[in-house]
Amino acid sequence: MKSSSTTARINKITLLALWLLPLGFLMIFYFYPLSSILEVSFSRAEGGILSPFIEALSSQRIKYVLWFSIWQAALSTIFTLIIGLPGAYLFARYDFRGKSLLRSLTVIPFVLPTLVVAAAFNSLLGPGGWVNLALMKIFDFPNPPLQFVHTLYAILVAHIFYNTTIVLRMVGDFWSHIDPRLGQAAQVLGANRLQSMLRIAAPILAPVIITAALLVFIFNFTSFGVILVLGGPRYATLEVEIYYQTVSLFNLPLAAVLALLQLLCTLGLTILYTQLSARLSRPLVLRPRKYTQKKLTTWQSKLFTIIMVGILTTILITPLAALATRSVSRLNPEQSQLHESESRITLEYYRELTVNRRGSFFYVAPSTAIIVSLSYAAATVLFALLLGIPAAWALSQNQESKFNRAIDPILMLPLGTSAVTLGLGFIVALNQPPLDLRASVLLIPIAHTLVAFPFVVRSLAPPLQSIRPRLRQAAQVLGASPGQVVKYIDLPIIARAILVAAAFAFTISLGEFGATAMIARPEYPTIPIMIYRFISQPGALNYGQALSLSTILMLTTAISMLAIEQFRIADIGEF
Amino acid sequence: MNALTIHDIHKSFGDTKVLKGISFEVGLGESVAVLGPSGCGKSTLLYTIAGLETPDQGEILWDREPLAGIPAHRRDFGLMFQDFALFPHKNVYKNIAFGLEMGKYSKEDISRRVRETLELVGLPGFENRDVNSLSGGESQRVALARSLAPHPRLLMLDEPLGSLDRNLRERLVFDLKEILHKSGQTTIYVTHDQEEAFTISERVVIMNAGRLEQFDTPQNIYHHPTTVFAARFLGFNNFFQGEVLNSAEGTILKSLLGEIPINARLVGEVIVMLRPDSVYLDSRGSCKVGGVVSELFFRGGICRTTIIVNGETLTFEFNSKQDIPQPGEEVSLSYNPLESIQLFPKDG
Repeated sequence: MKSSSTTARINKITLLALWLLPLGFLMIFYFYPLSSILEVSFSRAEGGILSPFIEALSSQRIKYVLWFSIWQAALSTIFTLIIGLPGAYLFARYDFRGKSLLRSLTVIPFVLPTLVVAAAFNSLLGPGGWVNLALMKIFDFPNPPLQFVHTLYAILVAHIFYNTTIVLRMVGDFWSHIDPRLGQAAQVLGANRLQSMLRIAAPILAPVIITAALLVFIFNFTSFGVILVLGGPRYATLEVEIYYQTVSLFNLPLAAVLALLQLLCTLGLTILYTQLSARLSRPLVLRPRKYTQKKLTTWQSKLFTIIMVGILTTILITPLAALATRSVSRLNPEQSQLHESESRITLEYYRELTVNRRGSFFYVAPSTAIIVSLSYAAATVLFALLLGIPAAWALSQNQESKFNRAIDPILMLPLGTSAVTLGLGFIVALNQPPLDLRASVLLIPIAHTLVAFPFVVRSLAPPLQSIRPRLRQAAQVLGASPGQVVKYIDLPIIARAILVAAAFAFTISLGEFGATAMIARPEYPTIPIMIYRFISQPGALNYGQALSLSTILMLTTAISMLAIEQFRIADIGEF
Repeated sequence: MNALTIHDIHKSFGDTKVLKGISFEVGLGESVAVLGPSGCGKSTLLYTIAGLETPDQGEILWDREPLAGIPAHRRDFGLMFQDFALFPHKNVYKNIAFGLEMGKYSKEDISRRVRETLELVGLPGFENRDVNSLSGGESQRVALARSLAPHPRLLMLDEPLGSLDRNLRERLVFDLKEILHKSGQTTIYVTHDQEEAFTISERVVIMNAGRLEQFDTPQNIYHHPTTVFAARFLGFNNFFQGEVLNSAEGTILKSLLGEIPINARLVGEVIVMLRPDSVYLDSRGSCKVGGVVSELFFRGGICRTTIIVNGETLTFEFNSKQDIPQPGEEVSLSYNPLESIQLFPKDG
């Protein structure tokens, strides 16, 4: 029988070994490229190392960009809460037909690539989109009346589209477990509905609402593709400005300052987020859903359900449906009328994907892009799981340790770092053996893994944390070796979580755009890059091809997520 | 004078009928227990009285005024939940003060009343404690204090001792009775534990699958259960079939005990119960029957004995201080039909 101190030491060694791989990965492929690009950028600065800082601080444009990043993120977050909170209440408290389908569908926007989202909103509200076409037909306008793309509204709506599901899930799941008896106790003690909501439900929900809002804010703050494509040239967040400074102006020092600035902001927010979400595990009497959810009996609840389902469907599903239908419709806004003689449903845009119309040397068949994307995605899943599982397992041991609490925000860092800067960092840093990966096909999966890694850890850690030590002890007493305990106790429990994490990694890789835009080789583009090429060129055929490719990507993502939803352990995990 | 009157309450959830016509009343200052197995509808009954559910049919009256249409937060009733439902984000003081704050008491009055109630339940000085750190017994008392503090006209307790261990339960049930009695509180106490119900209350409602089986004092119920369910719930067994016949010598009961003279209001086929606690090992009773001892269970003061009588296994409780025949031995029993035999209609 080993002494307890030996066992503790052995566990520490195992812990260290577990952290070796993920932390090593972060060291080599995150901190090293980041510091390289910062060093290169500042060493290029004319006038010394401080001059880009001075330039940034005195530039009106930079001040505007920073301010814009903050207030559009705040505004988007507020609107997301306005839609998401009643939706969370709907999912938390009521049980109705079609509820699980609706719930599964709401996760699709979150994992959609920004290019697809841009294309979807384009096909609904753009100059050639359904709404404009309908308005032109009904009111006989010669030109599309609704200006949506390249406005602030487009940005706000796209952000709401993306992030509502975070509120629905985080707040909704938590709310669904709150004992309804608390509200009933308040009622019996004399509180009417409003007082009960304000004095009992709101204080209990406040932590999770704030945490969800913070996460939504972080995503909005670092938004790139949405601002670039839907916002247009007038609007720029920090990330967009970094891209612009790097790619168009070659002003690397300034880009580095902005990247640093963005990093500091998101680091602060991320630390706040991890602190708050740790506090969420306060002892609370949690009831299973069977007791907390009721069927729709009163007319008020039915009306509320109909309205909320309507709003959620309109915001979250309609753009996707618009995209799919638009990709098979031959409608030309310039000609402004539908041709009765021609068939309106067409697959020509899909067929066009395989045709090299201009005999271009740089033509890449979309099938190539699809294969490329899928291969990168598969590699990303492999890497992300190889790194994420040990990290999540290590996090679940001794959860209260200071090490774990410090490590948590560090693991989330890649989420908040400028993908453009990282991409550039790869090119600059990884140019010498043994790390000469510039020409390697592994480069993009590694970049994708960096982005997917936080999601994988956050999906896996909670189920692992929830395995009671008692289960492991029982197995050991019954004769299971540590390896067998892992195999027979831990793995089955987290098997489903692994599936969910794998699906996240897969869809994130499929849709990643920022870093990929920097480091992809022109003859091996990914699907989002191809979509971007099509969407930035004029002409109905290009537009149509962008839509059809987007639809393919959307369907792939949707099917993966829907399939995974069947396996998801409800109630566990943050997403 | 009846404070609360429940009349013919029916309640269904979807297709399931949970309450099937319940009627009883509670006097001012009286303690009534609602006793029944899990799932019989006791909690639904409480929630309906509290106004958290609306009955499909029937009336609830307080002081002869109907309560229909008055929402829960204006009924001035107290409800103590089975798992206490203490507000986790408030400390002990704020939990207890909640009902008083809703009732718009002044700050000094609230402070005084919270202190008073904490003393009443035996937790003086607990004002600033975090409710998540309380033990089971302390949580129960805080929950009780919270429901008592606003002086409710009627206090309802839903299995308040259910989540506590046995020793604690036994101690607290007496404390509870004293507290309720001292404050003259009109109370309805719901439980599935017969001993609790009998200790705490002056009258007991026995409920089964949404129906009221019997409503009487504990003594009457114990000595004269009116339905087979009530008798079984009280722990009695020894049920078998019999027939009441009129003969030349008067009414007799024909059963596996033979033919016994009996005073019976029922005629024809009946269910017979031989009370386990009123059978003698000697011959002092007027009727005799013999059997073979099957098993003995020593239970301290009582020895529970199963005896096979005419092919039927019956259970009896004998004072363990006497000599009881061992398993396999024959035994002669005697009893007095008046105190030992109870008859129920054929369908219970």
